[in-house]
Amino acid sequence: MSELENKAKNDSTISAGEKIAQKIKDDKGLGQGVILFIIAFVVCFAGSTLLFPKLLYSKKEQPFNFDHYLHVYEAGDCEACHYLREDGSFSGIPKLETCMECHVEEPLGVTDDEVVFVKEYLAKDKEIPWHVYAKQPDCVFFSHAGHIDTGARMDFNECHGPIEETKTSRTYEENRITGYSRDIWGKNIFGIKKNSWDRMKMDDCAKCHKEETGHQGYCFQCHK
Amino acid sequence: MTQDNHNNAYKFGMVIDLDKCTGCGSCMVSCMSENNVPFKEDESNKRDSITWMRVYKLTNGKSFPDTEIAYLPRPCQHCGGEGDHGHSPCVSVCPATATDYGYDTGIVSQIYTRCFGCRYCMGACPYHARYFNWWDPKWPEGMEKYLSPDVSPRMRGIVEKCSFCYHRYQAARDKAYYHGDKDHIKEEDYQTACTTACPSNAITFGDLNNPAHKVHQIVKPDPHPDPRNHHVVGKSRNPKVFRLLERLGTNPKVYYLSEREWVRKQGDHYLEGEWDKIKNHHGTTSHG
Amino acid sequence: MDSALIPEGAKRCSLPKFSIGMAIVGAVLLWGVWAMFLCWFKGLNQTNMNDYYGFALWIWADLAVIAVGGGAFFTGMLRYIFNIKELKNIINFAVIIGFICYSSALLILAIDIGQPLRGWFIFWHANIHSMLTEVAFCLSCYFAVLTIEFIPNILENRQANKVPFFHHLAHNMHGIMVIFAATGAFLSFFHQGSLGGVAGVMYGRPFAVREGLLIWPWTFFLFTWSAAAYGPSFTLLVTKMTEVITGKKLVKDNVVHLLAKISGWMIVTYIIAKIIDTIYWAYVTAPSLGFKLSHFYTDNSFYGYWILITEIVICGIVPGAILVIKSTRENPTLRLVAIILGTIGVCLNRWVMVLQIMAVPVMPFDTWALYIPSWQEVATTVLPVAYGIMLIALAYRYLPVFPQEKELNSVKPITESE
Ligand code: SF4
Ligand code: SF4
Repeated sequence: MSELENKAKNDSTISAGEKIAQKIKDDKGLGQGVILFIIAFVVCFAGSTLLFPKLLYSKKEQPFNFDHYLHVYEAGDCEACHYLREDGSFSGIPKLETCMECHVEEPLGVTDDEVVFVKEYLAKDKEIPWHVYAKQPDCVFFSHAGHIDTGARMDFNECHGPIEETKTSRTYEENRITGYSRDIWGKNIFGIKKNSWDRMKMDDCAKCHKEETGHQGYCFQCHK
Repeated sequence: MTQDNHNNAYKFGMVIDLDKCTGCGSCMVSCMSENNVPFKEDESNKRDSITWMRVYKLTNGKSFPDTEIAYLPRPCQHCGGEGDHGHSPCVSVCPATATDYGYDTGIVSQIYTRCFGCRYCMGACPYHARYFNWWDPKWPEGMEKYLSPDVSPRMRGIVEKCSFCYHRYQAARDKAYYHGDKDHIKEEDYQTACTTACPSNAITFGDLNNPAHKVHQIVKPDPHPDPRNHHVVGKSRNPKVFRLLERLGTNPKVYYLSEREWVRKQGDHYLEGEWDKIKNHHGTTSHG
Repeated sequence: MDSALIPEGAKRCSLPKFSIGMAIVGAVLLWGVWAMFLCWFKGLNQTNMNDYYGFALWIWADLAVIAVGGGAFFTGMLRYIFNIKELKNIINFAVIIGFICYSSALLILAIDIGQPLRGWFIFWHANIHSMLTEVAFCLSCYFAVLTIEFIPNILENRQANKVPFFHHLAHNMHGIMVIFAATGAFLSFFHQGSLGGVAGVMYGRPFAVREGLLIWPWTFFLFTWSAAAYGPSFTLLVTKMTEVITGKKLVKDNVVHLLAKISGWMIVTYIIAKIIDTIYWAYVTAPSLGFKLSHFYTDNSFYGYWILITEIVICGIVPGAILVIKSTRENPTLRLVAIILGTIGVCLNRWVMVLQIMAVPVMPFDTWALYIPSWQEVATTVLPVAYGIMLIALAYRYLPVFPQEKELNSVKPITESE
């Protein structure tokens, strides 16, 4: 008979009380084990939340600060800069030409950012190399016409968040492996989102499409 | 959106007039430049170089002076699959869902970032419409700047194929949205690159479901299954129009047109005597 | 030197001799590994595959090793579920062969895909309609089962077995092996079948397509059946080779005869089904699509009717008959001929169901496509063979693989065996 079988046999002959007592005796090391486990868990958790994002994303500052709040106030609405063209395509981030509709030669205002803008770009007639937070991977086609007033009448906040209230440009973070903006996966490293704009993965698009149109869409609806 | 292929808004298709095609290859060139198709330094081995659109040469097999030649351009046929239910030969086999059938357009997609290169779809496609990227694309110095931003370039180790210039559909849809008529894409707003490039106007492209479109008028697709083979749906009611390998039940959306009988006969396989029996009432079986 | 590791009472060659042998095979293995890394780092342009030949030597090798590896599940099923006691003397070896075949198949698949780093998409983004998805799932699960089946044998190594924990583990695992054998058989029925389905569902390829039952084309059932039929033959063949190389009798004749008989009856029934399938396909399926049988076997320099005759008659009916008839089955030479022919037959069948499908022109104006593999493809295909030889050598040397070895080789001189 093997040891295991012996043990099983012995077990059945001792009383339940004795068994529990035995168990408690056997559990001596358990406390240490639990503590070790908790420590290991904390280390791993902290590592993945604090350290891993630092390794994964590189930080890039925008050429200079852009004050959306002020611009919306001065220009009246978003469409002054971001609009649909006649063929239905979206203008995206304005080119220097659009800026120059207001910023002609003389600086408008006295901020340092204005100085950089005028000196580095306006005077040199150079386009501003903005980092685009919402930029999707190359294989994605996104139709603004299909989502805004001409289409699904969505509010821009739903995807872009309360951008019109920002006075500064946050640091752009880029995934070192994929080269994608961090906004795609979202700020939260575990992919948890609280607001509709916290994450912009394919699953997020598909979920909304499913809810709103009854179907998540065929591949080519959003791929190119 | 419905899973039914027959009540949807669009079913884009093509008819190519083989009597007009001169075999010039403009369609192939325009396709490659439109769709960022990579090329190799040495393109002499046609079996591992990529041409979404390929022109085949057909002959009637007779010797001089009776020799006749025809050219047959072959894009992806955007098969509707058996019974036209959307289970195209290639779509149904892809293990990673890297290619799907768009029930809203009838177009078979290919998603480069999803494909992992098992090549099962290539084996399943009888038209050799699918191509593998055996190499990473290499563009000559400065040529990257001329790539189209509307089509994403591919990486090595994956499969690609003709998309009916889907990005042009996307653009046309955007335009339709802008003009407040999103459900009606105009015929002239969505035309593939090969169609517009063909100097002899051999290619006609449009919505097979829309009687106002030229392609529908030429093809006159029969919406009912062929009584002789229920897998076949959408047979042309024009006796001069045929599809490639129609009997397999792949239900292509690319049709061919020719006045010449020997050309039409090369569209499919026939046992002895079969052709003579059907050639005259070809496509006219269910609706006389 | 390593005598402490060698099973008790077993005689093995000296360590230096063993090492030299291993080094030679190891060199071949390294050649394969080199080719494998070339394919991974430079891409599939290292192969001679092309757009006509998307499936080629590798997929054939994959199907072939899985087919001949079918001996493991079928023998396991007979041993544990139908409780055929004699087979316990060969089941260890059948499991090892299966383990080698399946790990090789997975490795080849990992080399074969164009974007190996995306290999997990097949699980994560699975398309349940694809036969290949089913193959991937069942293959991986069954490989896990084979590993579990192999472990007790490893733990029976003389030193490992001294550790009480390992001893009991091995003992207890043997006890529940019936569960794994059942799981393995179930999984095998599916992935062997879906490998057949891979070809049968390609309705754009008249050479491959078959009608079937519900979603399963006939090739689904034929593949499972042929693996169960020819797998045991391959197990016997490898056993025979091991016996020749080691110069020892390892399995008693009655066990060999039993397995040969089972294999024989399976082959006979399979080949009848295969003939019916072929006739139906040739006279009903293909003609309904406009194809004459001659279309598939003429007009090219390689694929002729000979391949059909070889597969069905020479490598099907002949070995089946030899193994079914008692007198021929118990004749060692004829039996050897039969199991060799059988192994060739099933490999040829897989070749036809992969490479000939790709070669046959489908569009009327298309041409036959023939292909010759590159050295990288050959090397990576030889790689599993070298790996298999090494693993069998190691297992034989250090593990009690053949329970009857001691008895068969204790007093009598080896030459008298057979
Ligand atoms: S032509 Fe080939 S690639 Fe195109 S849909 Fe048909 S089977 Fe698929
Ligand atoms: S090669 Fe790509 S698209 Fe084709 S079946 Fe495999 S994963 Fe799907």
